[in-house]
Amino acid sequence: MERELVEGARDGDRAAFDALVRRKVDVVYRTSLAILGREVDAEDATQETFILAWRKLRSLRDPDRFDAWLGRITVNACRQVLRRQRGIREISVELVGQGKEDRSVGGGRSFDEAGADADAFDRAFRRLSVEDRAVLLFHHRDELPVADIAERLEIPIGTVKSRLHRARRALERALRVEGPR
Amino acid sequence: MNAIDDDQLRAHFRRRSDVGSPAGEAAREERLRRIVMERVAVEPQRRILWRPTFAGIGSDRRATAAVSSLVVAAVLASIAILASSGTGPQRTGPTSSAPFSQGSPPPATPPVVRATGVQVLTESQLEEVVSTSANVGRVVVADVQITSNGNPCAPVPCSPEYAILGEHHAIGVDAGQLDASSVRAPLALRIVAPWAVQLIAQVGSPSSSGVSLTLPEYRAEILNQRLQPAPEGTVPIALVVDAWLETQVGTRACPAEFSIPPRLSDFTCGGWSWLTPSAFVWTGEVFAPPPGGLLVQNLAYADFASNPVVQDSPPLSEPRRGLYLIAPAHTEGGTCSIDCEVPDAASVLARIDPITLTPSPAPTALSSHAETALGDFKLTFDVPKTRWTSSESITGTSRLEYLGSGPSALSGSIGGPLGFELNEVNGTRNLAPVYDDACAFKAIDKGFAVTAALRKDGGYDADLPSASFYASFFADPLYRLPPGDWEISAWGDFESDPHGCSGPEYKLKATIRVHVTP
Repeated sequence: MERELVEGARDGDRAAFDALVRRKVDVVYRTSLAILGREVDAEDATQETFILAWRKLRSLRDPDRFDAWLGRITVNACRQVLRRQRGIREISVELVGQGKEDRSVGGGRSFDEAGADADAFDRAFRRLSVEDRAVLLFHHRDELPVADIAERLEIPIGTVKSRLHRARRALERALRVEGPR
Repeated sequence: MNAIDDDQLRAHFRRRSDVGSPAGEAAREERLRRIVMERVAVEPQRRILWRPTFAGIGSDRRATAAVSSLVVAAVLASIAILASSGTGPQRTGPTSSAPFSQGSPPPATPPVVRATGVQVLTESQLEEVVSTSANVGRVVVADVQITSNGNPCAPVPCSPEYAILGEHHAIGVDAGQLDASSVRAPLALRIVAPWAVQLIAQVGSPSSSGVSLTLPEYRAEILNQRLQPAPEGTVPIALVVDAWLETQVGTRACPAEFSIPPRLSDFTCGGWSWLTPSAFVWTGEVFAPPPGGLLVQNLAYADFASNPVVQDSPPLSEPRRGLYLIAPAHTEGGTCSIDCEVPDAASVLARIDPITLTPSPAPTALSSHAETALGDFKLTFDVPKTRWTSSESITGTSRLEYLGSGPSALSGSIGGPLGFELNEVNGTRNLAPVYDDACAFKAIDKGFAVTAALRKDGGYDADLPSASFYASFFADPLYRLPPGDWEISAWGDFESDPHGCSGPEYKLKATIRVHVTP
């Protein structure tokens, strides 16, 4: 059924695409929200994801790979939302980070000792690249096989593994800086 | 140990994915779906070329026509004055590359230049072109889509920001006064800095072949009113013509008895520039518009001709053939009351020069050399031969070279940017390079290069069907492969950013196929 919708949308059938949007808007929005952290950003990324999907549907060769293909577009849309806001966001992140580093230097408060809280996690997560956020999300929340993650991110399987390791360590480093208030 | 366990991670991701109450979630989904479908309703799916139509271009055609009438009247009146003054300079008609020569007789019917193809870049080609500073200042036509998310500063109002979402990178776009959620491809873009472009125009084409127009074809588009001037403050819609650009040397004052609308002064007072279907030859002292010529703004020649050559005494200039992006200055045709052929005027927006692109990297069958390039970086991979026996140790060398002329930076794995991938042709065995998580930084400059000898790279899960192969492969101190065809790829995976690991990401891959016999 979904394959037929994808094929129809690929042929320019807007009603079929509408049906696909109804099916997928929730997962795209949730993924965007988990990556970006703000509802307004997630809504922007969701819109852009589906607009890009519509424009590029003709390039999708295998309709059965629609989910992975859409996931890749979602990550790209999230990346773009962040790029647009880079100027504003970097300043605020930097200011927050400076204050935190002042407390942590010499204090040695580890993440374990302080315990994680949502704010600290979100600030730390914001320090990661979109690719690192996505690989952690796909692996730990969606529990996707490494091969599926590789397809979504268009990177080799081996790179997924190394990136998972890298992203995890980067998050832990960020948590040490952003540790719970 | 500062660690966060898997359960904590899952809990945080669940929290970050929480969309609130079911009722609110349903309302949001419906709102998003409606917004998306409203945009989809007017969005075409990607196609190669787009043909402009007058529908939707201008919002006030009546006002445009009124202004256009004034424009035509003023242009023609000005030409009449100058034609009768007998002060026009002499010109000669050189070819675009031949030395300047004088005295050639004007052709009765100038041959029309054959329209040549317009290079329309794909998304990935545009990424390649904008990645290097060598192309800054050039104008390209690309089949890409500009997108905006409206107000990026919400809730505080500010101008929307635009970007081209490439396959690998986003390219910032200065869209000027553009006030729309999107524009249609192909687009004319000026590269203003690496990864930054300025939107010049939406490019139309009368055919799906991507061929530029001749001047008569352009004029037909105007007279058929399929192309109109863009309203002030909007992105112009322009066409690419294959024509000669030339200028009339010398400066003329505006006739005092004529009131020239400000927007027309660029076309009347001062030296005139023309697009002509062939290299025009000026004769005599009486000025007359060149046959088939299209009046363009006075400074068009100086601004857009390739290597413009002008001399004051005697007043001469050298025509230059090129692909020029032009937009109508006004749309009304008009009958010329004197001996002239000036049905319209146009603004030259840019000259489109072909741009050299790196051939797409592809596995080369039994070639011992492979290379690829992206931006200022080139990756090469060489092996001494492509046929090996299963008892031989395969050797090879990869080299990453910086082609830029100024300082730059590499950041990424502390083990360096080079890695190796192994793929079984017609098989499933695969080993991909593994990079550590460091953000090592290295300043580089012109001439920098790094090399690496072929090594085993990658990792595998013990539960994979081919795990025993991977285990024996890594246990072997030599790089030996079982009989069959294999693709060995060199990778260059890094970022080029002096501030750390957040700059443009480069992924270069050069692949060689080897045949292994027992």
